[in-house]
Amino acid sequence: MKQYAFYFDSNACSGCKACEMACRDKHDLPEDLRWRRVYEIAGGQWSQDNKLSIPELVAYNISLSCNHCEDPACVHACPTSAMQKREDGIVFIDPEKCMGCKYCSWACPYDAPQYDKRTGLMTKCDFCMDYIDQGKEPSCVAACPMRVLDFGELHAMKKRYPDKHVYPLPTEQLTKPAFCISQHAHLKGKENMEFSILNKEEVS
Amino acid sequence: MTGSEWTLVFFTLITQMCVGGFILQDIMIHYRHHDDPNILKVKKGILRTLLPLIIIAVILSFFHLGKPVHAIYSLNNLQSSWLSREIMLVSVFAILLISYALIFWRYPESRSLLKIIAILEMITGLFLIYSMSRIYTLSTIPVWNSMATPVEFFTASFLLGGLLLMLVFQRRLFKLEIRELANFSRRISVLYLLLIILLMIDLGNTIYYHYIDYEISRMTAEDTSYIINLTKSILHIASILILIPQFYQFNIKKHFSGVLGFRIIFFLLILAELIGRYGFYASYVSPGF
Repeated sequence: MKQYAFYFDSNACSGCKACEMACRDKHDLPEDLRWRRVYEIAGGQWSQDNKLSIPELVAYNISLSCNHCEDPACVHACPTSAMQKREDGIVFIDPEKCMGCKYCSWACPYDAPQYDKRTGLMTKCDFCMDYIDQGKEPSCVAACPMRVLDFGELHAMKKRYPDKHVYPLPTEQLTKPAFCISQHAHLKGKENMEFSILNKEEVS
Repeated sequence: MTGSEWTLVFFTLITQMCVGGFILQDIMIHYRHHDDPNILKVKKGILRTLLPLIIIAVILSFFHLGKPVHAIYSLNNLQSSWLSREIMLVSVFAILLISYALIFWRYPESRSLLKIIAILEMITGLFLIYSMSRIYTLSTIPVWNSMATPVEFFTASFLLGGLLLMLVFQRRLFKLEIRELANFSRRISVLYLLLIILLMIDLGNTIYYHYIDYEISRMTAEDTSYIINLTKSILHIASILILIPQFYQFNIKKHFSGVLGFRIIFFLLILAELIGRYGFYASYVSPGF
């Protein structure tokens, strides 16, 4: 079975959020909905060597939307079957069936499904499936000026980008996300460092 | 928490109260008791209380939906969604309770039919509480994903249901000498004891949640969960301290000692459960984020 996936290169992302804006523009999202979010992560500390303060700091960005998981917890949880997975792996919501119970947002470890107060329905990234069907790129991928976002078939991408998921992404075992990442080069060997999300208010 | 989530909390608590109340009343009031007019009055009083409660609960369940009209599709995913299963079970439970009450009032002599419906109702009720707890035991929310969640749901069901029964018993049996109730007083003593044990289990469970909040959410003394767990524990201890002397007096004097005690415990417990559920939602931490 085909499975579309997003790829993100953490090394070159400048955090411009053009991907967020392109997504918002394409889907005409209100202010309180963000189908794609750019998390600003930082961690580390300053070490002291006599009078010398040495920085051991790492900062990187992660642009994240729905990961269209291979084993989507939201699809299993949805009581109305409004949350569906297509043949090509894209997970989408059928607004004709969604009753706005918000249970999918509890089940998703990535906080991808979001409630639209205007319609009373759940919403989420649909991989711009109308564009995909027309042979075009998803709007976030097309808008990225640094070309750090890409998409393609999951298993082929995993071979090219074998990096493990990094903070704040939860373990891949939970839902098998269709998401590949190239870790920030400064992060290598420092995965156990304490990290935090700097723009928590913005992304939550 | 938003207003719609509060309606979900009330739906859960009222449904749990109805399930616990129905199961306990059917175990306590044996069908041979139906010949006793006093007990019959009590049973009618219980059903008269449970019936509007379950109807209110079902109505409340619609208020947390963004699009209630689409609730007609809510049974579409019975094979994998615990919410779908809960909706089916609560509907069956409500229908069975209404049928039971109607048959009891109109045809009280149909004891075999009542027995069959009661057994089906009890099984449905137990599965309903289990599916309610499974809705929250999600592997993607580690704080909720433990045995403490089903324990909390089952304990709350029998605690709230048992206290509701005690209130009805007191109201209906208060003026009667306990000897007039034959061996029924022994069953009330057992219910007293059960309530004390359940309060202690619930207290233990709250302490366990406190521990999980520390471990997973890295809770500090300033966090809402910390204050909530502490308040809930104090309310439980207060309930136990009121209930134990009442139990003692009931066994010595063979008489209910005042109506106020149970009303206070009921109020304290509802408050504890509401605070607890608020804390439960407040402890929601998605892994990583």
